[in-house]
Amino acid sequence: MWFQQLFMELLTFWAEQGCVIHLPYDVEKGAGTMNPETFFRVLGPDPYRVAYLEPSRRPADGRYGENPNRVQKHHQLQVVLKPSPPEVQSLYLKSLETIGIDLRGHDIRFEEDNWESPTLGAWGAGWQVLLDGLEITQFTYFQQAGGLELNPVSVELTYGLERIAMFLSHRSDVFDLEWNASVGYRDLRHADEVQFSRYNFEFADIDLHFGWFNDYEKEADRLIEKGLILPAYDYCLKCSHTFNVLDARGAISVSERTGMIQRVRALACRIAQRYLTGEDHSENSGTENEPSELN
Amino acid sequence: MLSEILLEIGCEEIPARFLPEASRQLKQNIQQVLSGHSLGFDEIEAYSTPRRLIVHASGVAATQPARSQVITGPPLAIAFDRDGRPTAAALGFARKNQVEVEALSRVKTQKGSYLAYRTQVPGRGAKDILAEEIPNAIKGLELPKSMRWEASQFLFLRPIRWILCLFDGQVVPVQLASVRAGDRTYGHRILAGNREAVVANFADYRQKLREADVEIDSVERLRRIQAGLEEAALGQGGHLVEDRRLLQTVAHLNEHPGVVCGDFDPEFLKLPAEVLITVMREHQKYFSLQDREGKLLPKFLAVVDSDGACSAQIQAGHERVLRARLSDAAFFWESDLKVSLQDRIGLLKKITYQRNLGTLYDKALRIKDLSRFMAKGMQHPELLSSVQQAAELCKTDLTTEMVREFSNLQGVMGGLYGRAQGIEAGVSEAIYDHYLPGASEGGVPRGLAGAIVAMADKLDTLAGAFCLGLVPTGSRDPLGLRRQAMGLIRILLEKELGLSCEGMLARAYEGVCSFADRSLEETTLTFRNFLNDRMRFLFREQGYRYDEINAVLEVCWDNPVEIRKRLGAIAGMRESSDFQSLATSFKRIKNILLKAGIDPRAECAIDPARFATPEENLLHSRVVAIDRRISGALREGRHEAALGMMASLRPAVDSFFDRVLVMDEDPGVRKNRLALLTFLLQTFLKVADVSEMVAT
Repeated sequence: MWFQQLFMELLTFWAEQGCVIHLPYDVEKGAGTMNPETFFRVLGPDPYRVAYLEPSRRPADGRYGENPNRVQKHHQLQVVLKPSPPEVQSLYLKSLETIGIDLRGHDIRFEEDNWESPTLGAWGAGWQVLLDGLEITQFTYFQQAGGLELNPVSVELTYGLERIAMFLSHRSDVFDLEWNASVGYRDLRHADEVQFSRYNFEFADIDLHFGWFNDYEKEADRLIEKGLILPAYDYCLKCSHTFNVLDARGAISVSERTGMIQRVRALACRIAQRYLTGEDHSENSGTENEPSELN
Repeated sequence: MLSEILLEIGCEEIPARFLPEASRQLKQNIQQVLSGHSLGFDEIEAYSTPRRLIVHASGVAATQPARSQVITGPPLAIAFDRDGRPTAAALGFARKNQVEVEALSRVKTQKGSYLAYRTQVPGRGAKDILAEEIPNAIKGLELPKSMRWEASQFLFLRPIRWILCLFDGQVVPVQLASVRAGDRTYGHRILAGNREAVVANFADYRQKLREADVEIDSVERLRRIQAGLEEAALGQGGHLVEDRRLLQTVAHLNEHPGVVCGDFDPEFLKLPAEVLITVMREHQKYFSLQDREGKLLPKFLAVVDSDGACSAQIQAGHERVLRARLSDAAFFWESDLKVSLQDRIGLLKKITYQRNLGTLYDKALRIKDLSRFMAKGMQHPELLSSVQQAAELCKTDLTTEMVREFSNLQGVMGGLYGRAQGIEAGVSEAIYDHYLPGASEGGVPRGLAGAIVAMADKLDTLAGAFCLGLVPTGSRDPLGLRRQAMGLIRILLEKELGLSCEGMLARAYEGVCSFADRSLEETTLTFRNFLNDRMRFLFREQGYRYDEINAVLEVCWDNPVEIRKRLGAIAGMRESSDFQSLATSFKRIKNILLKAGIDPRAECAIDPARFATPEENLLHSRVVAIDRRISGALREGRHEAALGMMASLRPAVDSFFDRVLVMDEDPGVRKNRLALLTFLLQTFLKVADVSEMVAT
């Protein structure tokens, strides 16, 4: 199966489950969870279903395109179902069948893995889904985001597309994947890996990045005060990415590290709070509205 | 009529680490429901799989036994008039209970006699009680990490998706979260396609789940896995690297376990076995195989939740994953080796050890100083240079990629990298071993250098925590101080090191005193109590009695080897009659001194000229003679002899108490006699405080 087919089929499957098929967000981020389509939508009482592809940047994971399993930018397919439907596990397994995985012929397990994002003030309970020992999906019931208890609880499915594609096509090198019939993953991604690895590890200007981090934080802070929550969140994301670059560059000492994570987290929590009150969901309860039409 | 209870809570996959405890508690809670409501039962058993918590009770009484009840009415004096006729009060009471006055009886209480209604209350049906109580039994589970998943905000380990609850084949109407109990269960999610089955009773339930590829008994699953692993190992001409904990874990990760064997590229065998085993265990939960000589084979065993139908395909998948994992490890190994441990020392300056206790670099310096102090104190100057070097380097592996990935390899990696970089064998072995002993069963460091660095590390951790007033409470021990203290004691005992912990702690305190907000005295006291609790536990486990342990700890608390020797001597002596009577006299002396307001530790000035009786003179001369000999015997480690000398005083002590009145009218004589007893007590206390002993 081609790489592009993989995410197209998954998106089609989730579209049929009533998901809005959204697009990647245009600010660098480490994971699909940071897309506003997840971060904001899981807050508050309104039901929502969304699926989207998200290129995710993890500067420290770069290996100059030389490691068959690690890249600084990989692709996640993110699904959020709010509230979490009772049959979510079987829906998920059905999605695997859609992309050609014969469940009966494999060892599939849900092993405890509680997801946590210190920078987003978020955590959830769930599993990593293992397919013959390979982690292919993070499956999470969101308990908290932006430091706020979530109700209703959303379920988030994050498919690691490269891994699934390698599994399906029996490749042991990510760069051997076929994006479509004529173009390979290597053609599209390799130069990017080499150049960004060099940039993140060797050339990123440390002083500039520290300066940006402070400026982005200041801007986010100012925008929160003005009630411009969505732009504020952009700058919070930029802080997070700037931090990741500095971290990959080896520029952050252990003691600084905790402090900087705290600063991003503080922004995320304030943004979440303002988002809710701004929309007049000041009582973050909303237990009663159980949307039956989505189940 | 006797019936059975079958309860199955169907969940999404419950984390393996919580499963045994949740299962145990559920059984206990249901058992409490039964006994709390006087419902008899023959047997109750719990089972579990990742997707279900199960309790089965058999021979359960269908109803509670009827119980007699006495309802007290008005006092007799009011209930009947002078002629013995019932008054309005009596009639009213009878009416309320819907009987005639003649049917009422009388009771006598402390306050007088009353009219009473005795009745038999029929027992309630078990099913009703269960319907009421089972939800509470489930909500009453004390679960460590619960989650919410639906509007009801119900908290549980993982979402509950169905409940099967039968009493005598009938559904008990229980509701939990948004789930109503029924008579259905569901088969293996993949192998049986989550097939629904109607259940009549427990036998039927087991049968149907077996047919649906679910084994509910974790013990049976474990047995099956073990057999599968051994068979596979044999088939590969190898031996299984035993891993009890992993075995327990995987038994809780499957409903239908099978074993798949795979290979990895022998090229990876250039990595140390410790690394290979850890990668396989921590990342993939695989078992390792070794040959007859203990050399690792390029193979692994994976426990899968599958029936073996497609094992070739599954094997290929697992092999691919392991290859990626091992490539990562090989990358870490090679890139870590590029920087020498020596060059990593500087990096420790950037890593905080603990808030308020400096950096890891500071800690390493403190360990170094303590290690030097200990090696000198133990008269091992030849170890000085190796313990100092090991101490300096022992934390450097915390800066390596491998330890960042696998924290349980701390120490081990330092040792391995050190060896690979040509550091002297004794030094790298000491680094390798310095976190030992890990678990309560685990071994202590192999060599003396490792033992010294390991103890120095632990003492520094303990002194650091205690000087800040950080003492574990209840189950909260985030710094693992209990394990550290136990490790320290075990090293001393197993290496036969008769060192004073108090002295070592004082030295450790010097290292951390700039951070301390507790004085040395306070820190030592905390340390003493903490250490003694561990020793009480340890020596109790070794079969010593608590009074023996108290008797010794009272006079000697900080030297485990010495304590063990004295315990051995006391345990051997305690049955002798001399010793028993001595213990009694000892208590008597303590009481006399207490009443007279004398500090038993105070200097005692005895004036033999003022003795008025031969018994005083006799006792005094015997004690003087023995006092010095006891000190000598203790110095030479002859503890039985010291105790024997104590016991030999019995006749002199007995005759003293028979003939002499301590509290003489003459204050001078009295004072002198009290001084003699104080001296006697102090002599005894050199060995043990036998007043702590209880008669056998």
